[in-house]
Amino acid sequence: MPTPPHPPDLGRSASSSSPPECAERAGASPLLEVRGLRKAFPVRGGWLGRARTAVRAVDGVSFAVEAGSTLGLVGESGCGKSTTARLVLRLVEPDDGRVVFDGRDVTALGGGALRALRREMQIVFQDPYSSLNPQMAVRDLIGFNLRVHGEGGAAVDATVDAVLEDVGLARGYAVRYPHELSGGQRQRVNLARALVVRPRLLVADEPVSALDKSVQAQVLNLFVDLRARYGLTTLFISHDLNVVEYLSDSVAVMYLGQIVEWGRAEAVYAQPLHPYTQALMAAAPDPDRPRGQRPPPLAGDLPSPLDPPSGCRFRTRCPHAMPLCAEQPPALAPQAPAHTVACHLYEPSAISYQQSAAKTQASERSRGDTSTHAVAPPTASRKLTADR
Amino acid sequence: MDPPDTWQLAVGANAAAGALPWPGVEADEAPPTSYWGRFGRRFLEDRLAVAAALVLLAMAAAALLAPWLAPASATDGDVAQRLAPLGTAGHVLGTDEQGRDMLTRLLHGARLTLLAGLVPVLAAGLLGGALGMVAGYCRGVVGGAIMRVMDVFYAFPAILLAIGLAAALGPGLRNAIIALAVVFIPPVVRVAETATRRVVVQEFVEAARASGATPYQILRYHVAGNVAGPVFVYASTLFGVSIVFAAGLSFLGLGVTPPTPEWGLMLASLKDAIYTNPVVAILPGAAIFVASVAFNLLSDGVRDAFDVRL
Repeated sequence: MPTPPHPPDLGRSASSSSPPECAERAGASPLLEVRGLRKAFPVRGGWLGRARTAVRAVDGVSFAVEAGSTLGLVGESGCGKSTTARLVLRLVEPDDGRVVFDGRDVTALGGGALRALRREMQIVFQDPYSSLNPQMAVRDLIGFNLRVHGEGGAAVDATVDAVLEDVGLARGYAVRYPHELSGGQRQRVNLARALVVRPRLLVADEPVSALDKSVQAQVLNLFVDLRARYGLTTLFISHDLNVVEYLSDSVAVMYLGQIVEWGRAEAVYAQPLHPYTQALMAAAPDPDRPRGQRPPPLAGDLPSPLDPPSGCRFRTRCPHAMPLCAEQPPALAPQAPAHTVACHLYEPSAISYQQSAAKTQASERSRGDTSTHAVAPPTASRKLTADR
Repeated sequence: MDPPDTWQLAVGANAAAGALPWPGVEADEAPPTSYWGRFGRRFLEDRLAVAAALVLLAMAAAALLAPWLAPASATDGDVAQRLAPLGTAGHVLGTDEQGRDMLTRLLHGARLTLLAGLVPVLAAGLLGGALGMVAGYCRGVVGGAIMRVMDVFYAFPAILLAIGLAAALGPGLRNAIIALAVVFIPPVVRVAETATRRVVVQEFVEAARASGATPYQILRYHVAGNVAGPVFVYASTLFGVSIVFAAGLSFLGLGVTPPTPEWGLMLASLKDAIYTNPVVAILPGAAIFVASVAFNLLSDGVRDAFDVRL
């Protein structure tokens, strides 16, 4: 739905480098807080395998997950969602930034303390095939998670049997091997492995993406059921907007290693602000929408994270791109209660910048109409052709 | 049942009740419980491997019981009866170039030969497997250091390296076995390292890390089982090579010293008789052949039985 940008809030200017204000309900303290997380993977090559360049997989990601709630992290393949998940659990070492779990800085913990903390933060992986050791029976796979924390004996088997029942697998499955299970059953085992230690935070990295649609529904229902029963705080990663809407209290949209929009799920779904979010929502299949009324899909491909565009990373595909977008990266700033967005279209400073820039550069620039784009809300200008 | 409606209901109801997603798949009769029970059953199904195991068991028993089974002395020959053919009275398998009873010498020779075949391979499999897993898991400086040291060993032809090491350590079967183990370690390390690198990128290893497992626990419980198969298969092919190398070292005076019976040494000293009495001359070689084929078949069977997916 088209809406004008929110009234300017000068107190929270886009230039501030501090983490964005939490879009969650005020007052509640987050169980997980991520600030300015960065990770670049060096690309080796050239003389003696020196790092020539780096893939900036996650580039300054900040968000928070309130205790007991679910944050849905959405975005295209390759936008850094999975890396973010691994950074949060410190399965991958961040280059920069902090992960604070229940007041403890996960990024500063050493070996033993980190291993102890892992009991409270678990993950369910995407691939039901490679995420289970083919050599281990289900009982040992799940029990391993308890044994590494020093538990042993018959108590482990009893706990494992109880969790198996919780995830909807009969006791007989305890002695089965992964190759004897279907994809859905394997994800149930993965879920059981994560839940057996009674974690507080569960990171689900596309847990149903590899499953059939019919099995997806079963596993998602199970997920919702268990989330309530185990009192989990969840970071749910998916590229499926419908799944995220179904599960999440709040939603963060990622594009090329950065979060472009973050807010309460109802708000984001009812009124997506960032042009990328709008494009994503428009691209989601909707059986109620007549054929002719489908908006045009996003043009172009995801730019390479080896060499991301300057300024706003979405500008190369954005229908509302303006010169400022190439110069300055937009910061995540609140636009509505519990709704933040990183886009120059909603920045008052950007408008004044555009006007002054238009004055000085009008003679050299052939793109004269961009300043009108800047003041117009994105949906209103959709009819105009993007001048790129 | 008719698919659509019932199915939908079943999904919701079962998810809520935490029951099985599809009725009827009530985790049927429990399969044999213990891991080793399954292992034994799978192994026994492989007739060839069972036969090979029996052959090797017979050889091992013959080696152990040689002093009681042997009809004659292993070192004293009858010069009048040199190179007697098969079936000679008193010498079922004939005699060698010094008139010693072949059956006796083969039985006694089995002891050192099986030792020289098995011990270096076992040592190289264990040490090389462990080093390879560490190198494959650690990568970086530690892994690089291990692999480059192995490359240095690779630069020498295997038999030359074995001769050099055995010569440096001094003659004797013990030193020959040590030399062979060292020679076999680098290729085993390489096999283990490759297998480890393939395993550690899988998500179950990451899941183990996410569980809070230490690197040792990950290697011990998640990597070792998946690396053992390739290492086992590769190491078992070294068994025959090891016997032949040990024979070569003995031939050069670096392993077993002459009067002592050992198959490789017997083969070497009988080679001149290949034109006069080929059947007798070939006997030690045939024994080596049977032992190494049986060993390879056995290791194939064991590998398959270890693999829970088969």
